[in-house]
Amino acid sequence: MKNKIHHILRPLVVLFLVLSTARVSAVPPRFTDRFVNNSSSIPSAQVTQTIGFTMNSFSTVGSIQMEQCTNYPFIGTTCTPPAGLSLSSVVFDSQTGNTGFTIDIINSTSNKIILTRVPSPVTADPNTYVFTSITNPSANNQTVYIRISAYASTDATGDVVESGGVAYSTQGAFSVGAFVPPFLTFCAAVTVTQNCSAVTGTFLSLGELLSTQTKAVSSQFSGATNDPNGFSVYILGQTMTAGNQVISQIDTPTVSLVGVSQFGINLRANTNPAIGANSTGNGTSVVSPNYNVANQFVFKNGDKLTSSSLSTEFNLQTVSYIVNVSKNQAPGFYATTVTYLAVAAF
Amino acid sequence: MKRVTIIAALVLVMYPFSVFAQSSSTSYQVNESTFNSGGNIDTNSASYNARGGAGDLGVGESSSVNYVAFGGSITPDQEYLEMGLTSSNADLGLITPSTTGIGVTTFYVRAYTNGSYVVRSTNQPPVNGSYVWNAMATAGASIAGTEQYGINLTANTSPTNSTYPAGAGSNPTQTPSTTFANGQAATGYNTPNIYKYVVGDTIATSGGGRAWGRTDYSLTIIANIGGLTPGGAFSVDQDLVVVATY
Repeated sequence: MKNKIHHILRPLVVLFLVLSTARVSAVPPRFTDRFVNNSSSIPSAQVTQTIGFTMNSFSTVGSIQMEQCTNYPFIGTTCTPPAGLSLSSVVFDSQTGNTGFTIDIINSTSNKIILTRVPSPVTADPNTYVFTSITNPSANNQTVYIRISAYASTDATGDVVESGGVAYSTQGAFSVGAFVPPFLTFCAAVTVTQNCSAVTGTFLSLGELLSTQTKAVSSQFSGATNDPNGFSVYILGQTMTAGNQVISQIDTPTVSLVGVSQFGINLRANTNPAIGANSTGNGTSVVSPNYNVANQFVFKNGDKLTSSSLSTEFNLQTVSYIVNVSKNQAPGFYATTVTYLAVAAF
Repeated sequence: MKRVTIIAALVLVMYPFSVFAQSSSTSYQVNESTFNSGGNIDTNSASYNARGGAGDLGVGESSSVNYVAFGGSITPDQEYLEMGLTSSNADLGLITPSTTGIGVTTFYVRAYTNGSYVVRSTNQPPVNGSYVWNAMATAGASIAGTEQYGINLTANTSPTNSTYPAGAGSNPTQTPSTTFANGQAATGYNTPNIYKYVVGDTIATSGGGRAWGRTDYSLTIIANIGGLTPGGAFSVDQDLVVVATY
């Protein structure tokens, strides 16, 4: 009876052992720390794809297959290639860890990259394999599995010695939009704050004009713009007049001459006469050369006083007006109105 | 008889190595075994924790000091990753030096990994021609009148504008519950009313190692202009990339 039981059980046990052993050997070790990093998830985008994993089998490996599918990550199951995915122009950019691989261009396909090398044992160093010029799948919200498997052979045939899956997802980008209104902020008055938050006065009095003394007063303007091409400030107006009597304007930069009829301006800090201030502020506006020399004055209707060729923060400018009269200057009530014009192109 | 007993024990020892989540024959294969009935179970004791679920997102984990087991509609045998937008555009509107542009968009990540996932934002800030909006390299509050572009993934009360009078955004939500999903906003992007934007930064990540289930994220974008921010239309396609490690 004992022998009979042994006779019956022995083949069953052997069968169990064979089946169990076969099942174990059919499951290759899994890569660890597996990932795929795409430079973009936008469908159909040209991307750089970095695939990383660690091999722990210490087996001899001559090839690695990376197959992209939309149905399963499982090695050996039917693969549905992602629509629109193209690996046909892929460039093998770099490799770390277990290296020495090149693309097997004969056996690689539009959804499968096979890396090949002279078979050699692998180490457990983290591997990264970077590929460029990959075209993402065309579908939106598409989950894509990459089945990664290593082989002892050089052409991804034979037994899988180690494997694992990773996944990535395509996704259309969302649009972010905003509109920034163009602006030109400008102010002119007797005194202004740099950011134009406050302005004071529109009237300047030179008092009694004398042939023995220069009369001088000042006003200010400030401006800023987000126009990429900047802005310019012009002065419009005439010299001082009293009826048909005129105080001559200074056509070219000239010093103040007491006893000579003159009307001129500049935008600098002067010592003769002591009037004015240099430009202040963090902007990029610059004063036109004719109006940018201390103690030199000039006035021409329509002249450009300042300009910036790019968007600029505020610059506060101080305009100094000087008036001299000769002994022969006709008496009268001399006055003028000047207008400051700021222009941006946008 | 004694000899038989010993051999049978060997068979039992070998058996666990052949357990699979997949069932197959030459003509049939089941990659994931799912039984959609029942509800969530969350049982804990000092030495044992069990979680289970039902339905499409029914994924669970049972563990003790020496043992971890998974069950549900998607098991760790299958690497899985899904990302989707649930709103497509974020219009920040007209922005002036005294107002802040605010936009909100939403996306979700559904993953099943034994490791973790991260979500990265890979694109530049909005551009107008060749001009790129100044991004907030360090986390900070919104300041009207200072050129800023930043994002976060939390519920905010500041800044506000006419479209978002109480602030914008919401905290990540786990679907169907925190039992199954664990996504969270990443450091730098997880503080209410504080914003940041660095190209390539991780803005969200799975928490606690393993990731499963679905996390819905609300991405709040704020933008302010300065005196030099050029006028005109700004735009960008926001490209989010999710990377899972298995």
